[in-house]
Amino acid sequence: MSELFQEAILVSILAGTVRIMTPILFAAIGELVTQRAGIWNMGVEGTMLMGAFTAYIVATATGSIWLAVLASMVVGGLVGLLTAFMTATMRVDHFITGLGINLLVAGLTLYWFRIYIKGRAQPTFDGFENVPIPVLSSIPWLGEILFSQRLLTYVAFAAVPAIWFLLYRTRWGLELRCLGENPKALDIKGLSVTGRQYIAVLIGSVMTGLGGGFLMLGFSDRYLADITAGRGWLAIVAIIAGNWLPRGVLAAVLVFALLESIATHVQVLGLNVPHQIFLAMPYLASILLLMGLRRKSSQPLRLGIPYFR
Amino acid sequence: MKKRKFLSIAGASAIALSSVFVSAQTAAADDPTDLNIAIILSAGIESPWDGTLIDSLERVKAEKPHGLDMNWQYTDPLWGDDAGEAMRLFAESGEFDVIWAHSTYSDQVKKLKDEFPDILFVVVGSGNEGLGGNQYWVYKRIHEASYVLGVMAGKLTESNTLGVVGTFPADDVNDEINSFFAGARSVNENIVQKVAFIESWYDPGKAAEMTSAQISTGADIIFSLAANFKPCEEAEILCFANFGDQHSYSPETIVSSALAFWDPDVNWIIDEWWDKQVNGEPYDGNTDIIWRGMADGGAGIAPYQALADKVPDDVKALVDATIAEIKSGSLVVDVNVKNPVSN
Repeated sequence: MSELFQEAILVSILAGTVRIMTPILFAAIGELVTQRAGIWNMGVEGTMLMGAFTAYIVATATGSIWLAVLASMVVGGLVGLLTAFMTATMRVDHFITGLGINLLVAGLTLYWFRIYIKGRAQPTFDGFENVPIPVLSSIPWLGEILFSQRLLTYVAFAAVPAIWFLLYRTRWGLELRCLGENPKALDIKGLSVTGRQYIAVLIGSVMTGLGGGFLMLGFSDRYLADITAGRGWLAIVAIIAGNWLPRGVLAAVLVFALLESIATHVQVLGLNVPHQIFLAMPYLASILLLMGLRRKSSQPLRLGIPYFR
Repeated sequence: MKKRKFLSIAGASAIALSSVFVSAQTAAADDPTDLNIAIILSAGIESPWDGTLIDSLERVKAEKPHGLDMNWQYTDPLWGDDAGEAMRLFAESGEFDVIWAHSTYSDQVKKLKDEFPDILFVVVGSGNEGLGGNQYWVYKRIHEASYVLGVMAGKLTESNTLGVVGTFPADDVNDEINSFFAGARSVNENIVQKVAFIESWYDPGKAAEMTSAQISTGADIIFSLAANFKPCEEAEILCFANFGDQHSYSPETIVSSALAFWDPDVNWIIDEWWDKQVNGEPYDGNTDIIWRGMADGGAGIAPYQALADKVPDDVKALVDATIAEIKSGSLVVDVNVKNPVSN
């Protein structure tokens, strides 16, 4: 076990943690906005998958990864529009809507992928490279862990305080949080509940699409079906484990990614510990946290409950 | 008297011979001219596992075995009950002679094989049950090719640390990994092995992390069974791939690949089907695994292509000699399916 604490290994574990965090953090912090508005979007996995798929198509078709990033956000937003239409306008059960979107996206992306590649010569692309920040990347340990990452990783971390500010330091954020607790109060004041829910879902879905885009452009050079591999679900678990608070979500994603990174290194170092235990821990930790937080839960009271005037 | 007897025997023989000839001609005229195969894919046509099967079918089709015109139709990746339902639809359509289920599908075949005794079912790889009868069990081991790559890696490494990123720790995955390290140790006894499984058939994110972790622990050559070579590109180290020649995916890192050729397996299945159709031989599917290695044309290694300069001539000669020894039988690469771990 002592091998884990060697300097190079520790740095590798922590740098890996930051990389693994990025796509999940985009989705989790974005969907936090959606959930605080009372919409329980269970279609995060599908939205992320659509973002990843679109990023692949655009990156290979145009050669521009920045266009691919933009496309993944736009498509994430379109999936979000569908989610918002179903949940806020049609008032369909949020869980059924989310699960339906996941199934729809899984089928559509596979179908479009087959049409696009037309055979076995699958096109590839050059994705994001690490962008070391001058001076900061030279700091021992921290430089490699925090400041020699992909550009979008810095954006993901910057999004956490930005979302916190939006939710807790602006009037719009106050109204949005009110949507999740007591939408009738807004409605009585003559403010649009549905309009605000649309915007909240759009913010979450655009960021989730971006997470999917990063997963594609930052980790791989080609697409395969269901490439998100449950990361969307992990984002939802992170929101629950983080008790619907930005700092909590950040901490939960950090812990999940750290556990995955440790699991990776445990295998590589050949330590006599079943690495699957670390992969199961995020889910176990969430269940325990939910049990422990029952009395102090910050879960929005009207989360997942369609609003009828 | 003797002359008359001779003439009658000769006449009878001529009649008998001509009737045999005529019946043989009739049988030849009735021989099947088409072979239709339904294929259940497990990972998708773009994956090396499934893609190499289609490559092999195309090569065999061009050879027109038994004069047959081969046609096939394949599905998207299907598992479990979905795969079983697809097999049933193919079988009930009456259009397919062979249903080739390209992974672990014997549970599904078990429910169908007796209902459709004229169809030849094929299952492939580890995790299957040898049912016999009209189910044939194709196995693919590319451990010999992996051993050869190991020989190359053992000579090319400077850190003496080699990494392998696997998919699942399955029988026909472990054999590749163990053989790779055995090959490396045959030329370099100081080899340190690093092994990690992504516990999925495809997860680029996890594969990237596993590869990065191995590089951080000193590995300077990676044998990736998980098909993500980006970390190798970033670290500017050499990589090996498996099943298909994946050089085009990362021309600056992939020196060679351990290749799977299904051609002898496809020909075997066609011969078995032909025997049943033409000679009336009943299907007699294998209950134990049968695999065809380098000597049988079932495996090989990819050419160096753009990275030929990275491999010194003496290493190339050693690789060629190792392949020759394996093909001649003077070198037998042990099949070691124990779960490999790092050391």
